[in-house]
Amino acid sequence: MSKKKRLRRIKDVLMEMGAGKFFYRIERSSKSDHVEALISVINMMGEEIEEALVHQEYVNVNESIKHIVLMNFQIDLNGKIKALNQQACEILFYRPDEIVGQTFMSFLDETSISKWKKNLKNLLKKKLVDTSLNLTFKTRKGLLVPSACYINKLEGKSDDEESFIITVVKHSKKQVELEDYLKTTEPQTIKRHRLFKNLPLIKKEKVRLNSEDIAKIREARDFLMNNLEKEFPSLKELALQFGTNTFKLKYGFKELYGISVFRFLRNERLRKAKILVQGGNCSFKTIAYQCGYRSVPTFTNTFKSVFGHTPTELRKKFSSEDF
Amino acid sequence: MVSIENNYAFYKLDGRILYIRYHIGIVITLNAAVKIVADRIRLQDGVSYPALCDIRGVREVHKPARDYLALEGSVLLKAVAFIVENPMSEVLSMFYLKTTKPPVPTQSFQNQRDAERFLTDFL
Repeated sequence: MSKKKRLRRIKDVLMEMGAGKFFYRIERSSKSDHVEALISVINMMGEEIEEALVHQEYVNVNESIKHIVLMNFQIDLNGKIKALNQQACEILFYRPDEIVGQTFMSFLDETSISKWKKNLKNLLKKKLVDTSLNLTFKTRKGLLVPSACYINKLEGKSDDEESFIITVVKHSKKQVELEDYLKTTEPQTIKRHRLFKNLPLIKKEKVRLNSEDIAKIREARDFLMNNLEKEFPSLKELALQFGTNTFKLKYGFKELYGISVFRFLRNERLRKAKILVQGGNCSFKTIAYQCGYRSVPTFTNTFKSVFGHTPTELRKKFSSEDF
Repeated sequence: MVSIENNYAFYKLDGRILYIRYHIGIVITLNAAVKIVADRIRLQDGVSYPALCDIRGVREVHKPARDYLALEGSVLLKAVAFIVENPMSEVLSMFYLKTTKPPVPTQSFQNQRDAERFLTDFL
């Protein structure tokens, strides 16, 4: 791809980002020049921002829920698009009549085409299917839209009536529609909405944190992460060390990270332990000590309760798998 | 001296420093990142070392792989020196340093001699 073409794509993707759409990516080339480096940073930035739109460190605040953009495709058993929604046309920069009747794979990038072909064969063999697949769409301008696609096969009386529904959910920064929705919906209904089903519910009374508090809690978290092998001082001592108080640390931590300080520490210790157990011949006593456990039986029991296997079993399992 | 190689990198341990050289043109996916860390930990056998990572060959690091490396990438490392040269490897290391705040001292260098000099402080 020429430099001019790559620069044009950079311009296009930045324009989209400016409009709050962070899900476009630029196709990579095999070059290693400055333009390619810039493309790489823009793609990575898009990924970081896109994730931040869904999860803004605060585990569940209403502000983090953004406008939802949806692409829906109805596809026949030959892989041709029968129908699609307006937003899909907008995202891909095509008119509906340019898409309807075309094969679904003509809107995918090269890697996704072979992935889709392979999966379509398997999907056709089965009757009712609900599955998901990571595919990358290619817009008219050549921008990429990597997407998790939810695929449902709909059963009908004849082959003509059978079809696939492909759904892609994206987030953008334009909030208007969802805000309207929130205003007109009862709080109980919002809680039950499928998007929020797995998220912890927020209580009305919560600790108020200013930016300084948040910075201190982050520091405390980083400190814990980097000192997993050390004995945990106490919540009070930890709070004092970072110039905050026990109440703010305890409840603020939970609010920021959705997990208690102790549970976080346990999870991080076990995560490190899992890596060391899987990837080496190091003794479990050493691993237990490196992960803040002073007793091997306690370490083994906790490990088993979380991962369902003792360290010995997990090591055997991992070494036998050709990962 | 011990050395191993997988589909993504070549590892060499000279008893003081762990050398990791990524293959040319590789894309680090999540599966690749898991394998890269697991093989390194296996080679280190429970001992921490300073590491010299030659990332000049890396073309792309996927987001799930970046998240994984941010959390697991520094286990059993005392310090990390990246060798970068072309603009591509330079931005990859800069982005990593900016977004992950590695728990061990980490810096980028244009040549191996400077990188080794930095790592000698952590032997």
